[in-house]
Amino acid sequence: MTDLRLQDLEIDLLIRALQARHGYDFSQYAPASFKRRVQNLLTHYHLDNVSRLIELVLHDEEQITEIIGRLSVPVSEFFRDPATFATLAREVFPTLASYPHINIWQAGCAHGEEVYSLAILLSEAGLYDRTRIYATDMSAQALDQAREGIFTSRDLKTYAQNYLDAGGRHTLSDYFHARYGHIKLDDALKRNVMFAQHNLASDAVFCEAHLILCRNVLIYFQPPLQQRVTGLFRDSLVRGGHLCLGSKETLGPYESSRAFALVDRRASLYRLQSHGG
Amino acid sequence: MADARRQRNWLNDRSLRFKSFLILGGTFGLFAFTSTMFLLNQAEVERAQLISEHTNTVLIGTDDLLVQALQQQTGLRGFALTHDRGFLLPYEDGVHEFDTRLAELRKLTADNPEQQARLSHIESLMLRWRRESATPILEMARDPSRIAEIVAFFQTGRGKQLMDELRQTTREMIAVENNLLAERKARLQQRVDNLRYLAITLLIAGFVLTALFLFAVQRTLAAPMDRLTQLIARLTGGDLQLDVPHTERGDEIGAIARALERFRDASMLVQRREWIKTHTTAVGELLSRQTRYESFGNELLQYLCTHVGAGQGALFRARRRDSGLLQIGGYGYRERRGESRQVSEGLVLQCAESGQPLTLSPVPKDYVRIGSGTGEAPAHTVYLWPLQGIEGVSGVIELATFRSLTEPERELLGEVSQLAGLALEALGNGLRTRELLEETRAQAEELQASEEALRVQQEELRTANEALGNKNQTLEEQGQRLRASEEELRVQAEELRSANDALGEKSRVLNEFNERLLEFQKALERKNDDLEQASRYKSEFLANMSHELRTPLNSLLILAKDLLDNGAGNLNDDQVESARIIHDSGHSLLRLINDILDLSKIEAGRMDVSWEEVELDAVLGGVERSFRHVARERGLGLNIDKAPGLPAQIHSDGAKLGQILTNLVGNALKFTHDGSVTLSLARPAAEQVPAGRTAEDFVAITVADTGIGIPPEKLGRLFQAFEQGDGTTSRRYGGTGLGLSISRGLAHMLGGDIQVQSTAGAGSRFTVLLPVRGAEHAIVAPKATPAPTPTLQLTSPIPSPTAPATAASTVARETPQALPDDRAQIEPGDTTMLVIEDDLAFARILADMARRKQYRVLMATDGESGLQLATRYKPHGILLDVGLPGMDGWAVMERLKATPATRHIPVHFITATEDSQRGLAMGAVGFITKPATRESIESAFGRVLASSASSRRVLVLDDDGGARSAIRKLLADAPIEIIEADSTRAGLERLAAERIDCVVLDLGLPDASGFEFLEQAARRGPVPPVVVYSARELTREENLKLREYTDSIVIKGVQSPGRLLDEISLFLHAVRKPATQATVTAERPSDLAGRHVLIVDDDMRNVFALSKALRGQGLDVVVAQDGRKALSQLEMHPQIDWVLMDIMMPDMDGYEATREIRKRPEWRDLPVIAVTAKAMKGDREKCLEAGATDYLTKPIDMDRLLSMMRAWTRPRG
Repeated sequence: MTDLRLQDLEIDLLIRALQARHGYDFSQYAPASFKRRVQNLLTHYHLDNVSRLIELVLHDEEQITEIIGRLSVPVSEFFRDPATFATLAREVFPTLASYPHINIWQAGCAHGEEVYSLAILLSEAGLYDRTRIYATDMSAQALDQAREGIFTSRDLKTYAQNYLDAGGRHTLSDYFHARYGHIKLDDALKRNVMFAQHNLASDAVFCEAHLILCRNVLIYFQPPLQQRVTGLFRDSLVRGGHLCLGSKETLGPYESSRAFALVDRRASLYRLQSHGG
Repeated sequence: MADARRQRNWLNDRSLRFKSFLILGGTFGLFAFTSTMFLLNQAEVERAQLISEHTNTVLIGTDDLLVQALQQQTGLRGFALTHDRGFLLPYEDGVHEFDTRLAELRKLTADNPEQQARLSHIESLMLRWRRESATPILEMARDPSRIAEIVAFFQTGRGKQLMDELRQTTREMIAVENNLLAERKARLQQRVDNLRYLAITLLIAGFVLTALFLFAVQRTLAAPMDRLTQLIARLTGGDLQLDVPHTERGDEIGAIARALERFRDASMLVQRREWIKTHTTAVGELLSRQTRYESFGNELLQYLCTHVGAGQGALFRARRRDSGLLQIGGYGYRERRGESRQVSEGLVLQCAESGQPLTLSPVPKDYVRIGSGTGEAPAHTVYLWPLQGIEGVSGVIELATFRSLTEPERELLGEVSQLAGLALEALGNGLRTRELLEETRAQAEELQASEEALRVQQEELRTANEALGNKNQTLEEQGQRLRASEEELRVQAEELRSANDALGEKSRVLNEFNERLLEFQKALERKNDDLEQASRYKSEFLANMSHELRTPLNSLLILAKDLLDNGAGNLNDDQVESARIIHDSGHSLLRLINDILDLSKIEAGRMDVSWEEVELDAVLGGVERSFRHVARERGLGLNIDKAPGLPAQIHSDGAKLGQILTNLVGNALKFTHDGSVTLSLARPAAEQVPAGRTAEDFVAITVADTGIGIPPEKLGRLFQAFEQGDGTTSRRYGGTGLGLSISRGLAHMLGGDIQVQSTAGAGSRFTVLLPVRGAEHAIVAPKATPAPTPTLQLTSPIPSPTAPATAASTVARETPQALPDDRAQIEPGDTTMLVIEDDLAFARILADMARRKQYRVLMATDGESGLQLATRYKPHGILLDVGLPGMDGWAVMERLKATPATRHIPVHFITATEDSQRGLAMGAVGFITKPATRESIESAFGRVLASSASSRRVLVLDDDGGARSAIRKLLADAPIEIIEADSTRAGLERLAAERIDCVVLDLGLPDASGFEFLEQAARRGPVPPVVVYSARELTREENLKLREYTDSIVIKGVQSPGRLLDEISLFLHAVRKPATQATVTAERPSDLAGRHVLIVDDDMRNVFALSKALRGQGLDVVVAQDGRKALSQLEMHPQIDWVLMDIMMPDMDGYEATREIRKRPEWRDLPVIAVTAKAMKGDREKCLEAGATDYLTKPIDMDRLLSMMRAWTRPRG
């Protein structure tokens, strides 16, 4: 058996170990990407092969949070793709404003940059007080970081520019304190955010959302899982609710996607058809 | 005393040498004096002795002189009497001796003129004696003759006289000399006495002097020396707190004292140095340990203040870049407290700038107060001390004290301030270094982090790329496959062509054969069609007949019952009896018809089973009750026999089971003439149970009779329709012969079966086997799907030209030419009706009926073309079939309602499907199930046109006229009639008086709030759809409350008119039913009725759905949106029996809320069912760990929830 095929086998076993031991289902993740994340883990733990990692997964209860954290791809920045945020503010916020209470589900919130970005824009639009943002992620580790609201100020300049490009009305620095090369977001920004662990691969709908953001998450999934997640979104959204995907993502040709109509291609913004529910 | 002191001081000031000189000198003086005095007295005594000797000598000389004089006289007198010359010699010696003695005496008494005079007198007397007596006698004695003259002469006495005088004088002289000697002796004695006195005096003087000296020495030397010695001892012992005496003295003691004093001072200096050094070292060590400004400041102040006794202190640090100082520490600092207080003016800054210490003393009473727990007082002095670093003043220390600081304390302060200055500077540098280090490390970390981020970004990009790549690849693969198959096709074509040629001949032969075969096949098909048609005819005939019969029968039965009741009392008994017969016969007929319908339904698989928990006792009891009197009438026994150990309930359909048993028992009674019928309930025998199942999975209900039995050859056909034991049986026993077929069909549907054992003439046993847990253990799988074509149709039996098999190919087909419609003749003002129906015959019927009503008809046989027509012609109404080829009726409906242009068109379903709920939920104005009657079709037309013609009526309930007219304007384009009301009362009145299709409700109304409007309206009857249109923000509680009536809540705003329009349209065109009308029909009150359940969930939709379903079960539902509210709800409603706890909630999540609940003893056993969207492995454990009783995942399966609730029912108490 060649090394490569052996590794595939090991990864298969790893996925089964994760599933059976901890209930995390990675079987529907894009294999190439998953393999790279696993490789990454091996480097991190200085392990020779995936079997050692499986051992860790099975026997080391402590490490699972770290492992799950490192298997997800928590990349984001504040106001990433500012045009998308501008579109949200322009197209979606007025609709949101007509609801007495607004529920927003940020699925796969990673370290929370977009959650806070959204909270900032909602505050400026005067909507934040009646908004609840459900920020969920599979990784407890990522959630802890998101909850902290502390980010490196390395790319602050980009963030500030993004913020302005996204239609921010003040300056980004109104919303954080910078110190020791990091920025700490205003606690007021997370007063209406509920961070919770939620696994798109296994868990069900938990709220009625008016807007769902799930940016750059679906690309890591294989079609069946994408379909499942799209279904979750459809079932969670109110009629006429919006779904915003990553700029490179589109809804796949699934049964569950049919209920959605494209609103803005650049922002990957969809709307649940009124009759869909 | 002062004099004495002065004297002592004087003495003290003299040097020791002087003092010793003084003493020695004194002593020597005394000694010298004594000696001199002795010498002097000695000389005196000697002189007195000498003088006495002289006097003695004079006395002796005088005596001698007298002797000599007498010797002369004696010699002269012998010579003169004897004339012997021998006598003349003593004379002559006398004369000489006399003269010598005289000279000697003269010499001795030279100092005494009195004696000299006497001597001279003696001399003269001598001389006169010699000349007058001696010379004449001598001459006369020379001549012996003259003797007589000599005697004569003697007689004269001249010579004797002189001699007597001489003697006298000598005597005189001796007396004088003796006097002199006595005098002198007395004088000598006095001298000796003097000397004695002197000696005694001197002895006393010497003694006194010595005593004096000793006293002085003791007083001025020994005692001070002793004292100084003691002091030295104390000093060397380290006791420096002493006064050195005698320092003012000018003598050596003074010098020693002064030296001692200097020594003491030096020691004290050393000690102070030592003290300062110790503290400085301690402070230095203390400060070197500090790593933060604050601890630096506080520790330093703490140390200083406690060691110099300051009551308050503050430390300020010079800022590195900016001017001003920053407070970094305080001690006993009360007012103006606050870390890092900045100082940019005042004395602190002054002190820092000048680098000079400042002392404020005494400070005013209100300047600063030092306080402790028991009291406080103003400080006396305030010191400001600059901390001098290398680069300048690095800080200022401020101390407030009750007293001035002592010199050493000040010195210590000075030392410490220098040290602290350097330390502070060093700390600053250290901190900065650390900062820089930290920064460097942070940068390194950041670099690492950004690397990681970059990696992660790359990951995302790569994944995205891969996703794209995958798509590409898929496309390419597809292309390749396409190309490959093209190629294959080409090759195959080639092969085929060549094969073709070869086969040409063969095929010709075969063709002939084929043609013949085809003819044969066609003939067969025709026959088959005929057969199918015949079968269909039968079903249809049956359905048709029963349908047609049922309608008149219905009225017949009602009328007969009316007559039978004899309400007017004008019928006699015979007539009533006749009415009864009419009624009973009608009933029998109806039963027969129903049986026929049931059978056809079962055959068509269209019978619905409603699964529920069935109480077996109740069913058997019901059967027994309904047959008891029949059995009694016929004189038969009817026994119920129940084996022990059976479940009380099974999961089944009670009504169907009842129907089966009624059938069987009815039959049994019917075919039994005497004996009894036994209805027994037991576990089936093993051989009755299908393989793979156990007897526990089933119950067997056996109906045994002692009747005529069934011959074995008939048993096989027993369950076929219209079969009875004997062709003649029906005539004798009545009955339709459908009962057993229906019963078995029903039993199959319930997952069971009916088995029969019979002996002709001895009776029969019909056993109904039923699975305990319903369909799970079905013996015969219930028919999963309805038959593709409805068995019963009213329409003519022309086969549909668009059979499902060919549907796909005809999707895009235009309206078939075979169905001409009126599209060309439509003129403005015409009422148009669109018929979408693939059954051409039925379509034609519909069209004819419509035309008869002067409507224009548009025809479509499939969904797509129907939609096109609807969009193009916008008909007034649509009659829609569900079972269409391609896009089905549901999809067409969805599309119609999704398209604004067609949304408002009323749609009526006419279909073989029975899912009227779904149709109505989608917004159909009506739903009739085929077979449709003419009347029902007519009414459908009516309904369609009614909802089209009479525009929808919207009640706008808003107290603001402006708002109302705004809504009016907003809805102007829609065919809507707007009814306005400005108060709750007016609104309710309108609602009661008129048909309202939709309500637009503002919550802020003058007389009562919108909530009350809704409550009251709901109390009066079904509420039309409500859209809440409010400028008011709603609390979550209000939102939840409204949710009971509507989920269409629009907050006034920029975008809101659009949404309002959307929401209203959705209701008006009934795309969906308002929330309240979608209520699940209340099932029969369950065993849970009257119990209380608390739903805790922030997902309103879920709360709403759950509470509705649970209320349908007769439960009392309380709602809370998060854990905290749940707890207060529990407190308010102690009667709550279950808590359904969502896990993911804001504020207090389900885990925490559950834990909180479990903390309270009264809720320790309260069943808490965790209801969560999370289905991960650990989630269940986490819920149970938190104290949940059970765990259920979303989406919620009501059956499971209910059975879980049953399982965890608390005994009521």
